[in-house]
Formats: sequence, C-alpha cells, structure tokens
Amino acid sequence: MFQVDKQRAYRVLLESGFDKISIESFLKNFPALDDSLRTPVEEWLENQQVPELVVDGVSIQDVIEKRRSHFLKAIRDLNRLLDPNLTPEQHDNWKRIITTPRFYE
Amino acid sequence: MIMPNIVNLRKENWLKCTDEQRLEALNQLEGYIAGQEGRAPCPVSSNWLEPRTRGVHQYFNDGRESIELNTSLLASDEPYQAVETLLHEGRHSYQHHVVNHPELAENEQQLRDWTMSQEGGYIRPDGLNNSLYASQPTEVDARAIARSRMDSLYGSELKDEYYQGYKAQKEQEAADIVEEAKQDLGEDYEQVAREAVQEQYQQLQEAQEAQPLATSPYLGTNSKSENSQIETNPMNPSLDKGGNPAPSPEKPLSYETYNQLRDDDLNYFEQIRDHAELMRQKGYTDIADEEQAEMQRTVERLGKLQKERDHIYNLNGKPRGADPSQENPTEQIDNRSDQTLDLGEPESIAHAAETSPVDAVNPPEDLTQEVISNTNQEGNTIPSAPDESQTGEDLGENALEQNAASNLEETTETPLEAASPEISAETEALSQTTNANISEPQPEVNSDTDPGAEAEDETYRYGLGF
Repeated sequence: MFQVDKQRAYRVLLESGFDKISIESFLKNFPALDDSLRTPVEEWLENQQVPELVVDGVSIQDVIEKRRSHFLKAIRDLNRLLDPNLTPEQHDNWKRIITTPRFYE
Repeated sequence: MIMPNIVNLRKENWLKCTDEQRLEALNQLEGYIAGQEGRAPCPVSSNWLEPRTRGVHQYFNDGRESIELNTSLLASDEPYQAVETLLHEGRHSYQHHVVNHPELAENEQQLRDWTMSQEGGYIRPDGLNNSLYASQPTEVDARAIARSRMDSLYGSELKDEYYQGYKAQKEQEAADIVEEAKQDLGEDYEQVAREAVQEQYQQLQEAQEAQPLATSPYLGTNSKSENSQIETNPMNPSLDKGGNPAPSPEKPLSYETYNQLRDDDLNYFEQIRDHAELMRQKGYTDIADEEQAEMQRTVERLGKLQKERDHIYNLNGKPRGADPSQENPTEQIDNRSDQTLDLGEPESIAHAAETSPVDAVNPPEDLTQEVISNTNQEGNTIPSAPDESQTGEDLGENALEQNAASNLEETTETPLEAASPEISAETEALSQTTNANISEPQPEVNSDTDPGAEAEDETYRYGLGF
C-alpha cells in the first residue's frame, strides 16, 4: 500500500481550477492505494495524462466516462476493487456501481 | 400530496403523444404542483443538455424561474424519468420559494440549509466531489420528494402497471448513491455535505463582507438574495464556487489576473448571450430581455477592465511605470494573444453578430473552461503557466492550509470598480453588436445536426453537467 502525495495532488488540483473546499474534502478521506496503482498515479501527478489502466477487468477510462469522475476519483474507486476485505458480493456490487452511468439533475 | 390524473403521463398514452403533447402534459403537472405549493409554476421546456444532465432549474434576479429537461427524456418511450426529473427540479423551485417565504419552512434546520444553498453554498458536481453534491441537503430533499411523488402519481393515481420496473431501477440508483457517498465521505455523509455547503456559503459571505461595494458578476449582485442560480452548474464562472472575490483598490492587479478576469467575463457574456437566444426562440422574451441587459452590463465591465489594465500595462504586458507594489513581477506576465479583449477586434462577439446564430454559438477560446472540462472528464489538465508563489515553495506541515490561504488571498484582491474609467468607443461598438446579435431572428435547428454534438455544445454554453 502507498499513500498519494496529498500536497502535490492538492497543488495539481488547485492549479487545474478545482475549488479548495472540494479538494480538501476529497483528499481528506483519500485512502492508501494498492501498490499496483503507484506508477499510474505518480505518472499522472507528473504530467496529468490519463494512462491505460485496467483493474479487475474495468478500465479507468470507462469509469471516468461513465461516472464523470476525475482521474483521482476513478483511481480511488478502482482501488476498492483490490480490497481483500470485501466480500464477493460487496466486490461485485462495487464493480457494478462504478461501471454504471451516473446522471445529474 | 394528492397527484393529478393527467392521462398523457401514463405510459400507454405517452407512447402515442407527440413531443409537444408530452411537454404540455409535463407543464400541466408542474402547474398543478406549483398551485398546491403556493408558488408560481416554472415554464418547462426541453433542450439538448449535457447527456448526463437530466434537467436543470434556473432562477433569475427578478424572481422568474424555468425548468429545462433533457430532450432525451422527452424522446423516451417511458414517461417516468422525465416526470421524476420534473418533480425533482420543481422541488428546487419550492426550496427557492421557501427561502423567500421563511414562514413556510418545516423547521429551522431546513430553512438554514436551503438559504445557505441558495446564497452561494450550493455544491455543483466537479468530478471530485460528486458525493458531496448528491448528499447536500437540497439534493437529498429533491430526490426524496420526487421519489415519493412518483409513487403517489403512478402507484396510487394513474395505477400504471409498467411503473414497477422503473421504480426498482430508481431504488437501486438511490442505494448506489448512498453506498458511494459512504465510501467517499464516511457514514456521516449527509452531515459532511451539509458542512461543506456551510463552508462554501461562509466563504462567500466573508468575501462579500470584504468587498461590500463590488458589483462584479462573480458575486451575482450586491444583494445576496438576488443571485441568479442554475442548479447543477459547475462551469458557470459567474456563479460557480460562490464567485471570485473582487480586487482591492490598494494594489494593481497583475496582467495575468486582468486577463483571467477578462476571460471569465467573456465566457460569461457568451453564456448569457446563447441562453438569451434560446429563451427568445422559446418565446420567453422577458427573460431574453433581462439577459440582454446583463450582456450590456458585462460589456461595460469589460470596457472598464480593459481601460484599467491598459492604463497600467503596455501592449506587451509590461508595467508602464515601475511600481514595486504591484501584484506580480514581469516574469509572470501573460503575453499570449489578447484579441478577444481588444475591443477594436472583438472577433468572436463581432463574428457572432454578423453571422448566423448557428455560428454564433461557438464561443471564443476560454482557457478556464477547457481546463475544467478536461480535468473533469478525463483527469487531464492543460499545462498552464505555473504560479511561482505556489509551485516554487516547499510546502511544510501546514502546506495545505497555507496554500489554500495564499490562493484565497490571491483572489481577494480585485476591485474592478476601483478605477471607473469611461466606457470606450470600442465598448460601445461591442455593445451594439450585442444588440444586433440578440435581436437576430433565429433559424430552425438543422435536423441533420448530431444530437450528441448539440448536447456537447450545451455543456459548454450553459456549463451544465461537466
């Protein structure tokens, strides 16, 4: 497991135009990530390019598109699929949630 | 609430209705509910909104409101989602009504929540905070009321046998929102979202108190209760984030800040221009007229901004006189092309006035919009000139707070009204093009137009969805 460099993430998000309330709330609860996600996250912090990444059969592009999520939010959602503490039912339910299109009104 | 028996809202009848008949049935429903709630009904229309945006509720400075539903909902073979979205947006209208009639509130907490939301605290989804958005009090309430009224309408009143399948889907959707919110915000997710609304509201109040004379569109109007607002609108620079605080008179702005303000104003201008066109097309001339007046005010503000900036900086963005107190040194000066502000060549706006409104809906380049759009949809950012004060420093233990504070400081020193130069002749010219543009007759929408592309345009123009 590793912890994202939150200060760096904060600065990148701030420079990207996100509101500080939104950033702080997001990073406050940001969990430690599976080691397999270290490289794509660090690359993103470096250049903000979304890498090709598939976790448990779910691509990050798919999550970003269907959920209208930011890269870091999608990473956090994918990371949960790697949580060994989830029951198979919880795992499948989460997988369904993050691949279901989300709507706003 | 007892729901009305509007037969065209039954699935079997909806299938046989034209789009106009469907819209008429929805307006009938909104009229009934508004009557029950003692508020004026919102005109309900359909539009190609961003594909993931089902609907929006908007209100304007003079109290008028409107509800727009995504055209895709009206085109559906089932009426349910269109009706539920209408009920959701109608509830936002009621929330607005209660804030203006506090005696109607069920309790103090409700009044406090809804007032803060209306006065700058409302959280729009931005890709990071979707759970905060969905868990804020006004959204939780609107979803719950819409769901309950759907059951009443289709279960008790219309006894629509097809409704049960849809209902099961919606209950799953609601459960998923809660599951995600718990993951994102913790078990106490609703309270976390409420506090975020409060924080955003307080931030705006502090900014307004610091700049009581500001009349910038970034603060809406001087009166907090007169703000225009669009629910589900993360990209409108005039309304988003509680607005950018206005500058202070003690210190001139950086060239870069002037240009950022200019870009925000230009984008704001484009948004209201396009919305005014749409309102005029739909026959809401009073709304269009009000927006035209707001366009004029924006043009005037742009003129003042340009004069002020050009008084301080030369054409290369260098200070005309050495002033050690200026906000940033010349190495931070933005030297990129400034064609849009140079009112001798307001390319995009003049072009819009001279050509068909179909062309006119293409806004000028707007870096702010692009950055937000990219970061939200793809997590990418467009590289921008780094802010030395942030990127160069080694952030310590309190770095997040310091960084946030310095960012706030940066944005709280902006008095556009400090220097009030005359409106230039060029500004008047732009003002004329504004009139010409908004008065032009609107052509029929090309039926060959790709609806998806239309929807993307709406995203840009209104800042809806993402």
